[in-house]
Amino acid sequence: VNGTWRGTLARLIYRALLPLAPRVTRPYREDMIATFDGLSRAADREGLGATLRLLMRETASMVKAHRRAPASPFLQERTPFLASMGGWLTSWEQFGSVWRSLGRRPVFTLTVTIALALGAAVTTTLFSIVETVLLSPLPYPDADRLVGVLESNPTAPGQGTLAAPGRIEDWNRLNQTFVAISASCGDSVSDTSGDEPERLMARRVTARFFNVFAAAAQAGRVFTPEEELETGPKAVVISDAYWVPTSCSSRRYLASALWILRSRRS
Amino acid sequence: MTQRQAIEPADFLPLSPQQFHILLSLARQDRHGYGVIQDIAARTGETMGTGTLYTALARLAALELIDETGEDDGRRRHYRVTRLGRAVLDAEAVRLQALVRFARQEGLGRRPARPAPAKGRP
Repeated sequence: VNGTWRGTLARLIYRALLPLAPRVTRPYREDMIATFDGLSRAADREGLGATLRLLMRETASMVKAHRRAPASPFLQERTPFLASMGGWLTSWEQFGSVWRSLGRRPVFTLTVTIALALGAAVTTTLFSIVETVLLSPLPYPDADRLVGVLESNPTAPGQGTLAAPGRIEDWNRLNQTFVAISASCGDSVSDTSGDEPERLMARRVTARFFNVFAAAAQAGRVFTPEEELETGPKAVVISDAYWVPTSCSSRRYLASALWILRSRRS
Repeated sequence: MTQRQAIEPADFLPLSPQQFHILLSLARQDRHGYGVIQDIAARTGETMGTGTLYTALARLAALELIDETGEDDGRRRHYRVTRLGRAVLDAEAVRLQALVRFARQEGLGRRPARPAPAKGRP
């Protein structure tokens, strides 16, 4: 068989397609190749496009032949490549069948899609929570050494109570287990130094708070030992979340912080 | 003692379009596979794939509607219609004719059939 490289390549590809439908191609193999040679030569004269169209048509034709006469289990056992190709084709046909079936039942398809989407969303959310709360380490150095300490009432077990700042100091002084003990509680303050009053989430902390978390200030400093004393000067540490989004003027925040301090003192 | 029942051409009907065209092609003269594809393409404008052709040929041979001539020019095998195959083809043509007549009685199919598109480059 003579011809261009396109024809030679097409014949090689065609021979590779023949095992797709062995029940047909086995008894007619040489005849099929001779027939394809004729088709290939005719396509070769018309150019690359015709050869590509011929190969696509032959591939589709072999797939149809496979569908009509799939390989026997005997042959599949002895030709793993054929079995895998046949399995792939069967899966693809099943996929097409399922796709068309779903198209004929739009309500069912929509219901299943919504159920799957909700399931995926719930699973993703739950995993995100579990991953954040349980699996991911806290964003502090030596996070595995951090321990939460609660005070509870023996008459009402299971319910934590607020510990007074003085008691925290007693625990810290008497403890021989932890490096340091500190405490904090939630608070909210209002910043009215700007044009519009703003509600801020704050935390009141006891001494050694930043030491316990081994956290340093990105800018400026955290509390000095004098500021940690109950009778010492008041000070505020502004969080990054508050500083960055509204950092139009550092001077304004300094004024804000001072205003909050004055408010706490009064 | 069992008596073999006579095979009637109507038992093979309806033929698939591929089987019909292959029988029609072979009814005119004995052909090899490539010749069948060319003849069908000239008549319908559609080129049949070899997978489709040989699936249909195998089926027709199993039904004894065609057989091989025994003529061998290298790798090609030639096929011909058997007497039964010709009778089946004739019965199928009658069946199709009846279907067309029914359709025409309903006012359908009165437009002239479109000619097969020309193959190849002008």
